[in-house]
Amino acid sequence: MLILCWLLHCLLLLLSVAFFTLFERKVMGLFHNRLGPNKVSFIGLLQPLLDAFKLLSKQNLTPLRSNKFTYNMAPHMALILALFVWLTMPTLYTMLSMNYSLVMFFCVSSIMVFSVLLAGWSSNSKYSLIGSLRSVAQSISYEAVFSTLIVLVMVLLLSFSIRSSFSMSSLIFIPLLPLWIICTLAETHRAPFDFSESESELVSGFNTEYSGAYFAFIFLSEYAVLLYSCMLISMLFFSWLIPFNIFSYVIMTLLFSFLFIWIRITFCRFRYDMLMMTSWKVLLPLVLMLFVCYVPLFI
Amino acid sequence: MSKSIQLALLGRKAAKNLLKSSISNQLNSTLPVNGVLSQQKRWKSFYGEPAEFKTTEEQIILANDETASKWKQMPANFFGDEKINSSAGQNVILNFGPQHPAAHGVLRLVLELDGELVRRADPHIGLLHRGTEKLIEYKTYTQALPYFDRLDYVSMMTNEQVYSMAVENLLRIEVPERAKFIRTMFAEITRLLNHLMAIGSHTLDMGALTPYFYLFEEREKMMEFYERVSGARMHAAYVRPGGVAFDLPIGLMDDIYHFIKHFGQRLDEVDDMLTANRIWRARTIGIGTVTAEDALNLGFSGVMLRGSGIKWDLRKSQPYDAYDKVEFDVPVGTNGDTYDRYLVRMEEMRQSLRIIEQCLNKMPTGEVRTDDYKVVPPRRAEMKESMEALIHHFKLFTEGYQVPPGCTYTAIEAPKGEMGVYLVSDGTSRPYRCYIRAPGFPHLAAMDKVSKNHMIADIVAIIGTMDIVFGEIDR
Repeated sequence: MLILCWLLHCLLLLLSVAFFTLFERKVMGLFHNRLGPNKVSFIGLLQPLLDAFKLLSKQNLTPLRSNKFTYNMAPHMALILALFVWLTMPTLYTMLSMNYSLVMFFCVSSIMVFSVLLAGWSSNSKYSLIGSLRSVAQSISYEAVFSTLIVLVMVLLLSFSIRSSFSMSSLIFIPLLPLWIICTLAETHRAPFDFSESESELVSGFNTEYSGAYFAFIFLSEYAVLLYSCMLISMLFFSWLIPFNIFSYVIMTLLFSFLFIWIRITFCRFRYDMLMMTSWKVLLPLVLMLFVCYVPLFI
Repeated sequence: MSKSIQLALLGRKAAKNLLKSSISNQLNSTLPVNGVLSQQKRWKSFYGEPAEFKTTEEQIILANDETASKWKQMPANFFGDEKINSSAGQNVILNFGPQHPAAHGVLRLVLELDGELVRRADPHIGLLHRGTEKLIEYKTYTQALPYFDRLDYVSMMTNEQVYSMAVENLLRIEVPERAKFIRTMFAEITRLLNHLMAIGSHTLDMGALTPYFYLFEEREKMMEFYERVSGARMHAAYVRPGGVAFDLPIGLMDDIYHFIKHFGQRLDEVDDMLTANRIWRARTIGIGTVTAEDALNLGFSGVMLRGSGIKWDLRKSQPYDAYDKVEFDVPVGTNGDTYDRYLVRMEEMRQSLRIIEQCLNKMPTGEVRTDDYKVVPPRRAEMKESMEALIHHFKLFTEGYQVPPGCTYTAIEAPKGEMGVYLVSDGTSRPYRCYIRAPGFPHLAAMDKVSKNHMIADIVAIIGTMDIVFGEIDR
């Protein structure tokens, strides 16, 4: 039963990720003063499904001198880890109740950088290698900030579980929101921190050599984590809205996914050394300062 | 036919085979063998390792020999069978282009990387070489004109303008006043076209997706003006020796006025998005800095020169067409970095709007072509009645017109910089030689100097700010 539930969960998740890409393309079209996908079926609704079908029906090309095992493993690893992250979502119909869901989320999302590293390294392409090196350098810097933030949240909640944030007390997290969003952007490799696959510099970064189903896996995993991050924000920071509106959780998730798309549309790309500087010299002192500010609340 | 000519006809490879065979001894006397056989050793220049940045052996071997001897040596790529050759350490050489999203066409940069720092950037050209200059020597002066559209294919009419002015200089003819104003107006529309492309693709390269679409929307409108005036959206062939091809259609000037009234708002939108944007500033300030001295020594012109603080604009220093009759300012930068050049481009667009408005207001009436029917084709209506006109038409489109012997170097301030044509005429109807001075060429040549010790991400910004278009660089 549990496995069936989990499979259904994964299926729905992948579907929502697919439609999230459509949402992104539509919103970008709106902002760019163009139409976006509108040819497939009714206003392009079937576009993501057909995209997925196209990608899965394509041949998987493996570079001749790549490390076949790692090369093939990395996309699977990325997808599986992304699905793992989603295990920590507290659903209404509990299939897995986790008392350590925040810790689990943090661990899994930290491991995710390895899939990027392995994908880029094993492709045996210079662009991929630079892309994966960038993502490692990036994760080293922002994770110091992110982990401090998560620890702060855990200390304030007196719990390791996301579920325990479901109360009015989550209002006190609001000052952490800007920092959290920046860290989420860095963690999900979204613009303006999309160094690992900065299109205009590294062609496609760490996934340059991937095609077909493997590319689809990488793509899905990235968007799944992004969607999860939006959901996590709406759970941690806006669960105090739930008493007012039962759907607020869904609405906030959508709003934040819109925000991430908006950020992508608006800003130009950072440089990865600038991100490292910013996170060590600006964000880390800031988050430590916040930590100190919250000290009276601990007592 | 002598043997050396035969060999030359056969081409290098065949010549090599021939020389290897037994007859090589006989040929040695007649042929400068070294000249034929010396292969281009260009690879030496970009695959070598400059000593200063070479990774040394000490950097690779981390432990002392005693410890290292106990290690099982891993293959170089940990799955292949190559052993690490510790003495062969060298910087990564990245082939940036020609198939690259930021290559602006067919730029091929061979980058030597130290981590992500670019130690050397070696631009390779020639992938879009069409032999324009040579082709022009075999075309009449009229037929040569469309080649200029295809040089810098984002600022088409200014290329035509410089060629037309060169031919007019040789012919010593003056174009009518109205034609001058039309040329000036369309040259400024072309400047807008070019700068929109420059800033749009620059921002796109830097990862900002949106300004590109806003700017291309405007570009589309201006291409419509091109289409209405000449019939072609890009390769207009509108500005011709002796004036312009056609008079402005009715209503075009109203629409251009309407357009420039609203164009400023689009520029403001881009300003809002970028000028004060902290990320944009962080990515552009201090990137690709060129000092005024360097800019002069490297032969820069246009925005690249003015961005470095040198006030040099051919429209001011040697006004051509109607530029002496309009008022405009020449913006200059102070720091000579990418951000300054971006600001200069934005301001130049605003000045272009000023010029266009003045042209619209001062547009004189009258002819748009010189009345010398030895140079410009007669009107269609006239050909139906006048035998002479018919003969002129026939002569112009079969043989072309003869240009008196002489040479000229005519330059204008194209959107990218000084666009010049060195035209030599031998008195026939075809140019003896046509050299084109493309502004992008010296800019690209300075790539190594400008981009040294920047990161890969900045290389992209520098390519964007140089406003490189390969049509003119490769010619």
